[in-house]
Amino acid sequence: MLIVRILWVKYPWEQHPVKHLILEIFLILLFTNGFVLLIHHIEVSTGMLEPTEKLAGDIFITNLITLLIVSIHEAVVFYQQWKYNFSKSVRLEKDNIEAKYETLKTQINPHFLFNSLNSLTTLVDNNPDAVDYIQNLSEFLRYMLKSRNNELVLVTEEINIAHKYLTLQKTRFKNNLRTKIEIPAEMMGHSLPPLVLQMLIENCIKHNIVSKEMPLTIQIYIWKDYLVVENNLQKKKAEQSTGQGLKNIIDRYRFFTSQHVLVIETTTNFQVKIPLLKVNV
Amino acid sequence: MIKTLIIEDEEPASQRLEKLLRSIEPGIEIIDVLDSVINAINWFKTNRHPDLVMLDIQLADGQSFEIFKAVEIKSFVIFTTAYDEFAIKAFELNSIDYLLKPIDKEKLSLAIKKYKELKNPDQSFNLNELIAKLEGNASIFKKRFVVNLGRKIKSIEAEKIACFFSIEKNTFLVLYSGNSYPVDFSLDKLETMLDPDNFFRINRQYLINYRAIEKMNVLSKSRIEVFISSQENGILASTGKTHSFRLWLDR
Repeated sequence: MLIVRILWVKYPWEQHPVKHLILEIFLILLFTNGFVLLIHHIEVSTGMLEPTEKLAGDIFITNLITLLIVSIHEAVVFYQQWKYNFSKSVRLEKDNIEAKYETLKTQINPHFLFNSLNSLTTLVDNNPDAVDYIQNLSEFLRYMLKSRNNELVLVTEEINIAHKYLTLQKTRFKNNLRTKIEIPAEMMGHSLPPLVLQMLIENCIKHNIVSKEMPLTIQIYIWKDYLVVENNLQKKKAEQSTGQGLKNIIDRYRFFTSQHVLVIETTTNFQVKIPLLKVNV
Repeated sequence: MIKTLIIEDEEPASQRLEKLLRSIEPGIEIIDVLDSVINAINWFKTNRHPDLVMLDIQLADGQSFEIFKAVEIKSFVIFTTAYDEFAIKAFELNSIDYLLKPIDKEKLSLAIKKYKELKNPDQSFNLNELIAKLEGNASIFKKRFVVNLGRKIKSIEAEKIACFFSIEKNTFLVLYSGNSYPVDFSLDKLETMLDPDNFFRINRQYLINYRAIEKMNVLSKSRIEVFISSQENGILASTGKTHSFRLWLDR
């Protein structure tokens, strides 16, 4: 076992698999067989056995057992290493996103932002639609800033913001974007990570055609204890998608539940089902 | 006639406010518009206090809270602000009305309606509490953490947390009971979110709660070993932090 550990440190699997394997097998066989021979020698010299008899059998069995034990051990260590690397990469990715967001945050001074929007409101005072639009935008941005320190938020808050967000998007797309939101009252007190709903809606719009001939319909409803965001599938061509958004959501959920985020794609529809959580105070 | 004073240093903002007020409540008379702390103090000393004051937090020469220190305002105050996390929190805790810029006509309407329905609008108690709070220059600290207990998700108060530690880029919180749970924030982030009076970043791996400290060993002039509940082994303050750690203990 010790030999295996030493080998892992000196010749890590990823870098020198061949060297590792050869050296390992060599050393262990050497060690084990040497041991067997020693025992046999002792047994012979104390007159318990004839030489060569049983030696072949002994060596064979010992090597077999050793090989088995070593394989299992290697497999375990290998798995541990893989697990460690995986969690490390998830963390790194998350840190990366966080860092990018923090940078963005420091570049936008909230005071400046909201004061500017306020000034803008005065300039378009004669246009009530514009005033409403700026109001929605402000409230959405405020929510983004506020919720960054919360791990989870209530469904009712997310739905509220989703409405505002959709109002903004509908100004862009007019009737080419249709929505239907139906959440029963009893689910409003559940929780989910902040801004997930908005991200999913944004994804729908980003990856699908939204036009007069092909309007996009987004439905938000409850299925069991999941919140579902569904849209009719009409993918845009030549899509450059990293899938980062969805991955980020899945990662965030992993902190709070073993339930999975479900992504279902049929020929006509695309659904993302996110688990709703109940927080006990 | 509701005599109203607007204290706002940005002209477009005050114009908009005026316009909105007139459209919501024809019975409002805007007696003056002021733009600075000094002008406001002088005005309140020489004029009869209005029924209502629309007061922006950020004025040309400073924060409007300074006005309250110089003169006692008898009017009903509704604050306005573009963005001030801390002040907003304080307003809510003290039941003080406030409006966020850009000002929403609906919300302004509601605020005015609320004011009109008050028989004897007296905010003096709440206002004093508010100013006192703002003096303390506290900030909004995270008070609760959400953790996954396997079958349940629980919200745990910061005071029940003995420490936070980080291992291989993962962060955990540790309760006094010894149980630890993963959290979704890095130690660096947590440092900015928690009250520094209670939590100290003692080294790269640990963020400890003052109340969790059980004993300390001074190993040398620049080396302190701290024992906290829930952790078997002592935690070494990183050499760079030893001095600030001593200062922090002394608070």
